[in-house]
Amino acid sequence: MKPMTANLKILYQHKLLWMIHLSFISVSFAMALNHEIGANNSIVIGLMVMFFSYGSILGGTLSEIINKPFSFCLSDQVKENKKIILLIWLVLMGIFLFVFSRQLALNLKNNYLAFGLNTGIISFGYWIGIFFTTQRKLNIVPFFMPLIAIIFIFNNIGINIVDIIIATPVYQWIMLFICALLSFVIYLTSFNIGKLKRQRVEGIVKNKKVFISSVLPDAVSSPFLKLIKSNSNKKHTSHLWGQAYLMIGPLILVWKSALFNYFFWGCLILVPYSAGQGEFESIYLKIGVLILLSLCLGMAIPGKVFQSFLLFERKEYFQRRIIILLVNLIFLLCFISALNFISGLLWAGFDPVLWKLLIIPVIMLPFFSGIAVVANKLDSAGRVTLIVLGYVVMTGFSFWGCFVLATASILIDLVIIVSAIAVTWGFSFAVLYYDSIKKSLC
Amino acid sequence: MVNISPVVKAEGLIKKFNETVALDSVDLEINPGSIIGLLGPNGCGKSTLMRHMIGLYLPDKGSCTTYGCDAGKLTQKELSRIGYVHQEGELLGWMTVDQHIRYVGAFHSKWNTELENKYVKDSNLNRRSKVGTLSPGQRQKLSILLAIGHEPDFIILDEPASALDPVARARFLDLLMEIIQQEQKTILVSSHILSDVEKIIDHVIIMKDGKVVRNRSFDDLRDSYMRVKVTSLKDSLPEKLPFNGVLSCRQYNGQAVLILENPEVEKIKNQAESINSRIDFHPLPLEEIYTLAMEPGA
Repeated sequence: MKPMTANLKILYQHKLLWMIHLSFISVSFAMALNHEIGANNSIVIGLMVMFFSYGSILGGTLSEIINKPFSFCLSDQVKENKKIILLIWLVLMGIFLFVFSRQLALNLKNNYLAFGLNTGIISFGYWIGIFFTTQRKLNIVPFFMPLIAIIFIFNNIGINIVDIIIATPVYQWIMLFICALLSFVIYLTSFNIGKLKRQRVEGIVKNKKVFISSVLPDAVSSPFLKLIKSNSNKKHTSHLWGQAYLMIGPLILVWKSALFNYFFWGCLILVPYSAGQGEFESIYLKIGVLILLSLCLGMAIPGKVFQSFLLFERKEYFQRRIIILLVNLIFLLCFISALNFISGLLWAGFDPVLWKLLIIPVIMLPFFSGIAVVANKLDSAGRVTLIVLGYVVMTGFSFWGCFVLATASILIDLVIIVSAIAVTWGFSFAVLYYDSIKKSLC
Repeated sequence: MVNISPVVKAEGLIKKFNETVALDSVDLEINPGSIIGLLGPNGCGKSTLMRHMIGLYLPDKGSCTTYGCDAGKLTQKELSRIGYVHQEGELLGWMTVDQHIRYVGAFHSKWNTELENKYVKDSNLNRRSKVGTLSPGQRQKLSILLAIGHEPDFIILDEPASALDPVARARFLDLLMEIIQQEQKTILVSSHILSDVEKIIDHVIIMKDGKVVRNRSFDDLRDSYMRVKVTSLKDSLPEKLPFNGVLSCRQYNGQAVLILENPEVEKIKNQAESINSRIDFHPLPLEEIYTLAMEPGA
């Protein structure tokens, strides 16, 4: 058996690859048809995101499998991996061409255009997936890269240049610091738990250097401890201060990097992004960013039960989680407001993230916190289902947001917003309450 | 007669994790003032049982009450009476040892500073060290302090000495002895270091495959097994010895060493006389009793 055949034989024992290929066939048909059904720009963007994701999932997964030690017991066959990657890409393009050739009769010009654009996007995703995986970075890039692609389409050249300069370190930062939170909703978690754990460990080691060298000054810890102690007869207040201490303490300990990461990079990426966008379609993106931020902070809700010191009743544990939820929401609203304010100062004629859109975190953050708790208890299959559901909700909510902003009256706005708040907060409260009171805590 | 209500009462307690049965119809009572050794192989359900007692786990069937309160509904009143040392010792790594002690201490109305200072000194804990940088042994020492600093009535120790070196283990045992002698505390300790456990316990619960297979006072358990050395006063012993409840027997050069279950001392003496032999009784150490209890069909 030739090395290539041996490699492919082992490679295609992975069911995951078959699943990805099958999904690709359905995707390619949808792609071929998109110009025939009179797709507007939003749908094209949506499809582009999907194609890019497909390419990067395939590339990333492939790269993951063939880079695993002992997957291929073939020594001195380093070049084989490259050959396989190239071969699969060529086959992929072949299938694509075949699908398009079946559609040519409908609208020749548009199909060639779509073929060129979409194969480019898929190939781009494919090679990005391979590059980032072989660079040993957690492959959640696909989730963010479409944002960059879309920024290219809608922004002017100046903004694009700024974005290109800052995008790489920013997305690396995002990967390092929030991928653990995002991962439960993003598809790759279900595929590569091992890598995620490694990434966490690397993050911990990195943070440990800061933790070893710095000590929280007593001037910071003492007031909290006094407040906890002085309220010991009012347990709820005491726990509120205890929670505040647990949230603020670590942040102060790494205040330099926190300030740098959260605000400096955050502003750099989002200010140029939010500026200069006056088109209706850009609202979709702004909503996307707000949902993404809500997702990050919503996922941080579950909280931890420290078995080594039994301080909380279950009821208090539930209350503690609600406190975290509220604090995160306030933090996010302040962050977005600051961003709007800075955008206004820096960019002439800017169109900031609309103040009206601040309602999105209020609705989505509790929703994601509930989802995070549910996802924690699920197996891989359950998580995949949840991910699909999450995508549907996120996409639906984004389009709904556009629709409401464009068409609805203030009254309808109010009714919808109040209902959405009631539903998502109700959902979050119910899930957190059930999990805190009725379920095992560890 | 005074009716003493148990500290922990489990009735028909069943807990499953997916298809694995972690606890299988566990019934037990823990009375105040008793020092109990909870023994069993890895994965037999010891930690699961302990976590039910403090309300971290909820039963799938049956019930588990601590201080008369359903463990899942424990309030501050009951929790403040419990101290729990977990084998993995989850702590807040970003605090210093001192900050951590003060953080936990702040939540408790009665925190024994004297005990804290003594313990920190005896166990060489550096108050200024970051918790995240402590060795496993040091972390365990800190966990122990956090569990006993508020002077709980019921102390649950889940593998408390697993990461401690022999000297630290000896000190920890001394500390436990001190606690036991000072007041009437209830202590439940799970450990694989049985030579340590047997120095302090007065009651034994042995678990196997999620079930309680032995639940007796340590004295009773010890009396129920005996090593008997039979020495012939003539040249040799008969091939078949007349004793009941023989679990094992080794014969050599006119001597035999037997392990007997539920031995009746007077009867055995008479039987020894009948075969013209001298007899010596030796109690079994806990480790051997435990091994016997773990044998298939025991």
